[in-house]
Amino acid sequence: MADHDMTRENVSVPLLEVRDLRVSLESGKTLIDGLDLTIGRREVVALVGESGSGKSVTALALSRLLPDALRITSGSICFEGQDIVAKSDSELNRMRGADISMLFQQPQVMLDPTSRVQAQVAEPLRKHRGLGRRQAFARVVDLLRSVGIPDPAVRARAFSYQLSGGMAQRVMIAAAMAAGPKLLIADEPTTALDVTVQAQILRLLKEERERHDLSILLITHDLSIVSAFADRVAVMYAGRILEEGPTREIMRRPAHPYTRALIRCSLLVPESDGKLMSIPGSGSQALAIKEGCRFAPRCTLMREHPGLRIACCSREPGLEPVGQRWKSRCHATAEVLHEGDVA
Amino acid sequence: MRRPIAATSATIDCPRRDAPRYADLACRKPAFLSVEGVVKHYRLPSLTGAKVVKSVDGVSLHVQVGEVMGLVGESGCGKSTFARIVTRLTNATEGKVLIDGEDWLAPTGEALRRRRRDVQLIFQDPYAALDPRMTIGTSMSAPMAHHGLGGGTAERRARVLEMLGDVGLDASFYHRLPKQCSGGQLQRVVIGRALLLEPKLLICDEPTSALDASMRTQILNLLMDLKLRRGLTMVVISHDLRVMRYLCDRIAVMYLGKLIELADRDTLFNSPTHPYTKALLAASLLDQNSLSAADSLLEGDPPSPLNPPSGCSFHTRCPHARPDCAAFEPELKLARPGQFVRCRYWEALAEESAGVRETTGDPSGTLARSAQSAATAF
Amino acid sequence: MDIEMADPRLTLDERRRSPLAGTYAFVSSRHWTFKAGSVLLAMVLVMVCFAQWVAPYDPAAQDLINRLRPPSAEHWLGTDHLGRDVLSRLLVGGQFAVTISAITVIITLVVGTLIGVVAGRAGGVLDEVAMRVVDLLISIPDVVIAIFLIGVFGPNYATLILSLTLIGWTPYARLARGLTKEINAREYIRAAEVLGMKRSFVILRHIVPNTIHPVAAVSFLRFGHKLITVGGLSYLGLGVRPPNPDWGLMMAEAQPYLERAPILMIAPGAVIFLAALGVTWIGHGLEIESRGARSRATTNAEEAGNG
Repeated sequence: MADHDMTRENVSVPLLEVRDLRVSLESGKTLIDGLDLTIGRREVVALVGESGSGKSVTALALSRLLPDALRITSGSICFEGQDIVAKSDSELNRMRGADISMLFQQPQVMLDPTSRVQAQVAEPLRKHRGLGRRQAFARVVDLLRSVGIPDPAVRARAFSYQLSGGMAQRVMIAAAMAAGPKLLIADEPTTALDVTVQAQILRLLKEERERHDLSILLITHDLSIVSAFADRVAVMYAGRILEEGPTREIMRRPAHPYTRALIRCSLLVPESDGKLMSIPGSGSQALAIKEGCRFAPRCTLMREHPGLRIACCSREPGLEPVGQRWKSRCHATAEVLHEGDVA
Repeated sequence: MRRPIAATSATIDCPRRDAPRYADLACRKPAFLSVEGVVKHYRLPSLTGAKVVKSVDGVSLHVQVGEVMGLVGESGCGKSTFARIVTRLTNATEGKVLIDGEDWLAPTGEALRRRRRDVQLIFQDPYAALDPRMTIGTSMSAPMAHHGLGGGTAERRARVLEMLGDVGLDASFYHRLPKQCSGGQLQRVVIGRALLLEPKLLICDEPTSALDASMRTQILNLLMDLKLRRGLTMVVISHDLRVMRYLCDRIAVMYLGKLIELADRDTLFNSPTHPYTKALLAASLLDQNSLSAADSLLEGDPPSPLNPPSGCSFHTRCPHARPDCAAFEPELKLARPGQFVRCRYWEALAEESAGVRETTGDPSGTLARSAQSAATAF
Repeated sequence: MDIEMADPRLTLDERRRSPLAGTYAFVSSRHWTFKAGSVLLAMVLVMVCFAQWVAPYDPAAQDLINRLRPPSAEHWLGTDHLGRDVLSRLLVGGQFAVTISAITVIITLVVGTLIGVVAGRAGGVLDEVAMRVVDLLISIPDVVIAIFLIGVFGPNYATLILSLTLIGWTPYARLARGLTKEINAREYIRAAEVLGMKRSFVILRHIVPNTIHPVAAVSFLRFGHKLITVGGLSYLGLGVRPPNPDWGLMMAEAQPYLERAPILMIAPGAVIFLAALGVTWIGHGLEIESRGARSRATTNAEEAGNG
């Protein structure tokens, strides 16, 4: 595939490189614990996890938009070789929108209801590109047309509360793309939308990526959109990445028992006993686990292989390579792969 | 004491072509839940005079004992209003709802309160459906007391503990508060609370939408268990077609307050007839090719119920719309055995797509392919 | 189906506590204003309750030779214009104001909350009428009502309490009605309806307990306000009749001697101030907490909703 060749070429110069990122609450509780993530140019990476896994905190940390109660305690976030963690607020302001844009779950909440669509889409144009009012308006109409909004000149004068959810998310995409960013961080961009609109928005994001050589970090809990959308996927659990690699391979034959269970759960196809796969227990206590693998208490593989118990409960596995650009954090990767295709 | 529930098989006999007025009534068995021509209009005051929103606009649906009926549609299609009507949380503007042959919309006040145990509702967000200050034990046992069930306090407590076990929770939950539980655990509590009243009909409004993937399957297993072991009659409302495929015997598709397709599960997934159903299937069951395949995605947003289109309400987004679709409103008609569709041109469309399949040499068709591949792998 | 691990410690701990330890735990886990207020209020209450035994002298015993004495070893706060011991009068004098205020607060709280909850739950015409009555009453100062009623019926306990409750219920009604509207929109009220719960249960077990926290906060704030009002009425001669001691009356009597013996004015004023401050702080602490609880509830729900 052309996409893959392209990303492989640029492996040496990743667009975004996160090293050992740690984010903690002021009280000392660690939410993100040593996260490594690399996003290449024109690459679409999906960050998948259940609630409480830390995926949304990661999104905020990468754009340095963490709320006051959360701190980056260590690690580096290098965007084109420059560490974002060390940057001042004014430098960050220059980067946001121009280099890195964000997209959020509830577009109607993110748009200011008291100002018109054109003003909100034009803001990055005027700020980063220095366009005048008239030039900016013409550009806004072009942008709105490019994200598939009918009657863009009319809609540009509308207020955001007059837009439907799908339209509002299109406007957000237009605003995010206005200053030509290199990286788009999309945090659950389609979760609040209807399925037919979700598919439209995902397709639009793919088109934008082709058109602007954009890299996308998609944060989602929904595995069903990952395979349709992402080149690579990283699975998060309790503040850690458990598996990371090419979507096609992982979705077909994951190397981590959690990924495998999550995929089986999402498929909603009965197991041999007629029931749907479910992961026992809940992940709410996993952040507190200090020794051993954080997924061990819920891991069915460990239960089936008693020999693993000592290793899994005493020593946390590292993120070890499984294949090309494919890593998994499990003592029993071979056993998982041995189980064959997931579906 | 438990009321016996007739566990009947959910297979449906084929209706004949000369079907009566309410399309799906032609089944041989009597319906347990009969919804006939239910209409719900909301009046919205505005500067230019009151506007009427037709949230549910003439829905007829018949569910048999032990059957699980799915109701699928996008936001604003009226599926939640339908749930509120059937659970008597809101009154219908028009129409009839019969449960076991009795008029369910007639009772009011105390008579209604006493009969409410027959129809129970499972909510989307279990956190919101439980009083944060009330222990789970109280939340579950109080409704029984209000219906004079379960004898004395000690017996009711025993029943609650037994039910906690049935829904996969242990006795310690009795004294817990909702904030000490996870979403999946609370959804089990909500289901258990409803089951303690031994309802005849369970309405599930998006029962798994607020839950994580691993929790979702636990709840679906529980609901499936209720269907198979207790033979409970259910109406499951969801926007997720995969949930529907797993749980439901028949599926009704709603669009702007109207049913636009009603079919057996397998028929609906294997040969969807209405263009909207096809689009919904394609969008729900995404695979690697579906985002680039231009034909399978709908354009635009669902129209506002404030301002519904003329004629066929779907014609504004329909890829196969013809000029007279805007003028004439189609009726829900029998298309194939066990399948009803509200489209004037479904036959022509079926022939067209068959022709396309032949010429492209793709015998399974785009849709069948995406449905298939989504079932096997993402 | 798997059984999930439970954590029974929380509830067990709560049940095994002794009442005293329970009270301590209740207070110590609260906001600092609540703690400070509790200490102040506890001091005032102990003083008022045990005044008869603690007071060094008879508060009514006159000693005209030793009038207007400054504080000394025998009379810690000196004596007043009739030679009565100020400390003893101060201790006993709180009884009236605290009792009246407490009774009024309890009556107004119950009546107001009930009216508010019923109006909020019923909605429609009843709600509209109740709220218009509240609007009307809330605009009349209660001192005016008190002066009028006392003028008609004469100063006695019943009149005083009536005049303070006649308007006093309105803030509770307004608050409880707003909270009821908010709670009534919650899903668990819909659930209770579908489950066929009795109306009384919905009001008494779902709505009232969820309004009680903010209402309690307001009741403490109002308690402080009432103490001052009662003091004010006594000061105006509309409360306790001499020679019975009362904080407000003591201040009124001290007025002519302000320059010679300022302690006569300062002492009761300071006690009213401290008592009012104590209850206000408690109310403030509760208010902060109920706000915190509400925002915590929403964040919990948000965590449940997304990652």
